[in-house]
This record gives sequence, structure tokens and C-alpha cells, in this order.
Amino acid sequence: MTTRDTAQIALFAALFAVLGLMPAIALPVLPVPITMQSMGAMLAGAILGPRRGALAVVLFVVLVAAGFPLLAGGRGGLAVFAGPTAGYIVGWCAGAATTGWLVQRMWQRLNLGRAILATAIGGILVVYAIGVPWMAAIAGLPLGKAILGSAVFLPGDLIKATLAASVAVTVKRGYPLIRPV
Amino acid sequence: MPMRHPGAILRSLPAGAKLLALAALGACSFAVTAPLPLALALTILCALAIAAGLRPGTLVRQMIPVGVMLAGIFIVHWAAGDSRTGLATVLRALALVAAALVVTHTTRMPAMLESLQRALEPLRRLGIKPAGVAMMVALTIRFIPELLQTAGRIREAQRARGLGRNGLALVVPLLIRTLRNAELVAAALDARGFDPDAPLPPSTVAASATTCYARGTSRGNRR
Repeated sequence: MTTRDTAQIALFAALFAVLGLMPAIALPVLPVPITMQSMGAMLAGAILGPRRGALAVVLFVVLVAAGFPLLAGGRGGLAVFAGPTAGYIVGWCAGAATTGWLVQRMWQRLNLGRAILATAIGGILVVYAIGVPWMAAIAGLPLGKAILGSAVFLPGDLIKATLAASVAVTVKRGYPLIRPV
Repeated sequence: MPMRHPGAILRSLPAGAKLLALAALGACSFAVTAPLPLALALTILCALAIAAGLRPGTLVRQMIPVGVMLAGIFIVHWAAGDSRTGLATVLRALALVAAALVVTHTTRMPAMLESLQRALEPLRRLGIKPAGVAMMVALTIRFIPELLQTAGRIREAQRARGLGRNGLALVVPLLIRTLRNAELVAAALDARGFDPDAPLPPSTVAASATTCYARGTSRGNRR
């Protein structure tokens, strides 16, 4: 790993925190303002690639566990990992890796549609695949009910996946960082 | 020997031991399915948190986000006709949150980061360099207030252009600034001969970074 990789991973983890600390943005299509933090995992993968992207997310999660109040709403500390939503936070790491891997594979012919595919599979499908069963286990709920309950967050997450994908495509034009495979 | 304050005893324990105890408590708690012992555990842990110096108001405020979620979970259990399991689930989760709060409140941040560094030491053979990780932690903490200020400035500029509600107009410039900052930091580190293989005196990096974070955020808030 080069010094440049070290700096990129560290600063991306900082960006992840900033996305959560900034006030939530209001979107005309949704009744509630959304925080941009869960976009961080998608962005890390789509812009830094699978390895650096996942490491940036892991670094962020470790800092949250160490007690820095960096999650949206100023939450942090080990208490976050005792709650029922801890699986989503762990899922971010795998989600960033998946998004990064997909973007890397499609790098040469990346367009908005392919980028949305990558952010949605990594940032939603993989994150939910870890977060939902985790919540079901902690809450003692049947899996079906847990899936139904988390469907509430799907519209917001789809908007975030679209936004993250268009950001990734725009940044790629000016600042391509992923080496295609 | 005079009796010591429970908070002082907890504070003097090594961070690693407290983390292991917390993990063990979490694993064991799932073996208990009756609400009564779980309620007892919750009471004891809350009392411990308050004895350790956590203000009751803070304790309640920390529990509210989890509490809302747990209320929903209880309702689902109750509707399914098993309010006993629902109650046990809620009490278990709250007890674990209280235990985690006790550990976080009685362990200083540098001590926590130091135990992380020590835990990474055996991974050196897999190519993970503890000094590199320590540097990343320090850089992240150092740059959070910096990027927060940058984000605020970009937001103001875009609002002046009538783009205040446009997420793309905010995130793209912020990202480019972040990546450019990373280039500068990397160049600065290389110029100073940064070597991730070098053994680091433990805690110095973490301690200075934490001070930086505290100073930076208080300045940022006053902005």
C-alpha cells in the first residue's frame, strides 16, 4: 500500500463522517429529510475501488466503535453495536467492497445505468442481506417480518443509490482513481 | 483499605479487558430468555453507568434511538401473541446498550485506540502495518473538522447560486476537495519520510489526534 492509498483511505473515512454530521437534505419527492451518510459506503466503493473503499468504511466503523460520535445524529460508541441496527453498519463494509468490485469490472464502459446497478447491488442488496437477518436475530423476529419492516427505507435508499452513482460518474470524468481489470 | 469509587475502578481497568468482558456479556445474554433476570441486569448496568459518572439525562438520551426501534419490535411480538419474548428482547438490547455505554464512558479514547493498535500487532504477518493504521486513524480524526468546514463553505456557495437543495452540487465538489487533500497529505507524508514499517511509540499518535479532533470540532461549531 502506498502513502497515497493511506491518505485516500483516511480522508474518505473522514468524508464518511462529514456526510453524517452535515444537516440532512430535504428532497422534494420524500416527506422526511434524508441523511447522506449511508451514501458514504456506496461512494467509497465506487470512487476508491473495492480494496481502498472497503478499508475506508472499516476505518470509519472502527472509529465509531472507539467512541467518536460520527454516525448521523451524533451517535457513536459500542452501544451502537449492541442495538438491532448494527448489522447495517457491518453491512456497509461488504457493500463498499461489492460496489467497488462491480464498478471496477465495468470501469471502461461505466455509464449512469451501470453505476446505479453497482451502487444498488452493493449499497442496498448486500447491506440489507447482512442488516436484515442481523436485526431479525437480535429482535427475535421471523425473517419475513424483518424484510417487510426494512422495506420502508427502500425508497430513500434507491434515491441515495442514484445520487451516489451520478456522483461517481461525474467524479470519474475529472478524477479517475480505479484501475480497470 | 478504603473503598474505591466504582467509576474509578472501572476507569483503571485496561481497555482490552473491558472490551472482552462486553463481548462475553453480549454472547451470554442470548442464553437468558426470561424477562426478569434481564430486567435485573438492566437495572444493575444502569446503576453502574450512573455510578461511573454518566448523567441520567445522557443515559436516557443515548437510549432513545434504540428505544424507538425496540418499541416497534415489541409491538410486532405482542401482535403475534408472545409479549414475553418481546419484553425479553427489549430488555436484553437495552441492557447491552447500557453495558456498552459503561465501557465507552469509562475508557479514554486514546486507550481505546491503543488497544486497537495492540490487537493489530499479530496481524503484522498478514501485511497489516500497525503504524500505517495509526496514521490513518490520526489523519481521519484530524480531517473531519477540516472537511466539515469545507462542506459548510460549499453549501453556502451553492445556496448563493440557488443550488442549496441539489445534493449533487454539494457532494461532487466536496469529494474532489477530499481527493485533492489526500494528494497533498500523501506528498507531505512522503516528504517527511513516513514509513509504515517503523515501530511507533504507542498512544502518541492517537493522543495527539484526539486532541486535534476536540480542538477542531469546537472551533468548527463556533463558525
